[in-house]
Amino acid sequence: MENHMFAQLFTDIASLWAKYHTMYLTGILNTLILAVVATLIGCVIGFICGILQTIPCGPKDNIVKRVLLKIIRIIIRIYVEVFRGTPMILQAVFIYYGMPYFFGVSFKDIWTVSIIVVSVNTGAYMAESVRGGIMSIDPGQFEGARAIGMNHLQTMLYIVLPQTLRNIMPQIGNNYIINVKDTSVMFIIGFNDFFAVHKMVSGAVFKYFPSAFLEMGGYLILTLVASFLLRKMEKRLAGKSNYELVNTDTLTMSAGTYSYPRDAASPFDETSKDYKGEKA
Amino acid sequence: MKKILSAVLVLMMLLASAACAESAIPGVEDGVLTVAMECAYAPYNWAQPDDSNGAVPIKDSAFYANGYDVMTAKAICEANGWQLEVMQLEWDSLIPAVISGQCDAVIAGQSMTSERMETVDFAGPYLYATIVCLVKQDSKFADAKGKSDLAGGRCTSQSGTIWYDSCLPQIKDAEILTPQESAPAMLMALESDTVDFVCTDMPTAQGALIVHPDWKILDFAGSGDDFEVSEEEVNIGISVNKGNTALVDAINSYLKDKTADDFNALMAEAIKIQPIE
Repeated sequence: MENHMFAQLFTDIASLWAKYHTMYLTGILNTLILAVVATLIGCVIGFICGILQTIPCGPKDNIVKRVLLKIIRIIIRIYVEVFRGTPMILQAVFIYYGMPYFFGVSFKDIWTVSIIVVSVNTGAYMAESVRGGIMSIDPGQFEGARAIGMNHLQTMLYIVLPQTLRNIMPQIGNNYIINVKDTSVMFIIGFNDFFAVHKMVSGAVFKYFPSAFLEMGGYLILTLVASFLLRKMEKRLAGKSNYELVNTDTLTMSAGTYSYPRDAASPFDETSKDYKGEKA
Repeated sequence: MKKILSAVLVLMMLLASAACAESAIPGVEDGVLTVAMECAYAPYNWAQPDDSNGAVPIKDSAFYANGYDVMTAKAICEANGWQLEVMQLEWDSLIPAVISGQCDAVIAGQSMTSERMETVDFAGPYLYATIVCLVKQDSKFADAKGKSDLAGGRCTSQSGTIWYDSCLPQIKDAEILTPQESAPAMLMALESDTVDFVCTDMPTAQGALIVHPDWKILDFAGSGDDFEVSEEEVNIGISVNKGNTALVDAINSYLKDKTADDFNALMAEAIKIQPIE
């Protein structure tokens, strides 16, 4: 009996694919493009928020600068809390239907709206990740940059953010994989992503479960490929393992620089040499 | 000669602008009627990967829409000299879209209920619906002759429809589960035995029977124990933005000569080209 049901399921999936594969593949392409573009833009937004939030400001600076910075910090805080605290599906509805209604802004293009919604949402999460990443950088880096006369923007752009980027690479990967799946809520405003194709196909032929099964397989393949590529990128960012930072020469001021632990924290991490059985 | 020629040209311009002024209907100033529908609700509207059987391309998409609603929209546009553009939206987003102006009209199998009339104006009706129930043939409700025979059953229907809001509550002691977000999802609930029966309309039920030949349609029409629905609930209409009476009149000018038989014949055609195997 069960064999018969599985056989029926796979026959249904095969017939769905045979008839609608162009629709499914177009949906996958749209999902991928939206996820990649929106994650990139979200990263940029996150980094900008990180730079703005960490502008150094003390009680000795003049009052205008202090007030301005306080306002900027409050605005960023509100942005992060609102866009992290509401579901993306409702953000999409609000931006697509509410903005024309309240502000008279009308959107000509569904891609523009979708990218805006997903980027702004991703940016809110990335802002917090970047803030955490910046906080994890040794203060010696900031002091050193100050000492050689860099201003805040230069410190951030050339010294701190590159290191932050490497630290939060796993989180960016996380956000990208989450976006691949969360773009499915964009069907609410009519964006033709992979999930919308499921609704259309099941609405035409009433084969809801086979279509859902196929879609789950599709999403799994997408995220597995993404995971694989991200790990490869992390390994590449870590650099060749036969170079080491010179820490023993006291005249070389490498204090505060931190070698990203390729050999990891515990011997049971799959990237550590102990685990692989190599000599340390 | 030149004077006569320029006089003729001026006359032509005046006539042309008079003709243009006639289509200064809000929403159709550019001559394009943008219609929103779910494209996931056979046989009213569905999506297909090619333009066979006269399907219309969906805006911002590589796919095509077809179905009873698309055929009606094409006929209306032909009668009024407009071009048709089809937009795909979720069922619950259709009315917000027409209110905010993202689309000019909604032709999606919506009933002309008084709650909807508070927010939008309706043209039509362009179909008269019949409410039926779907059960599995081996269900204990398969021999029901009226809605009182369905007492005590587990049931559900699609969210935001008259089937869920006013038909299911009429069944005595029914265990009404949460509404499903689309028609296929509702049919899945029946297929997985989450419910004993679902309430829907005849065209959807006929389509479901093609995929599930072991199901049965329970039609209580004329039995005296049918669902009590007001006329507004079975009239399927076209929503437009509130106050857009010019568009309502233009659409109604095509629909007023049509009878229920015309509608049923068109629906039978739509069911025939529905891509179910």
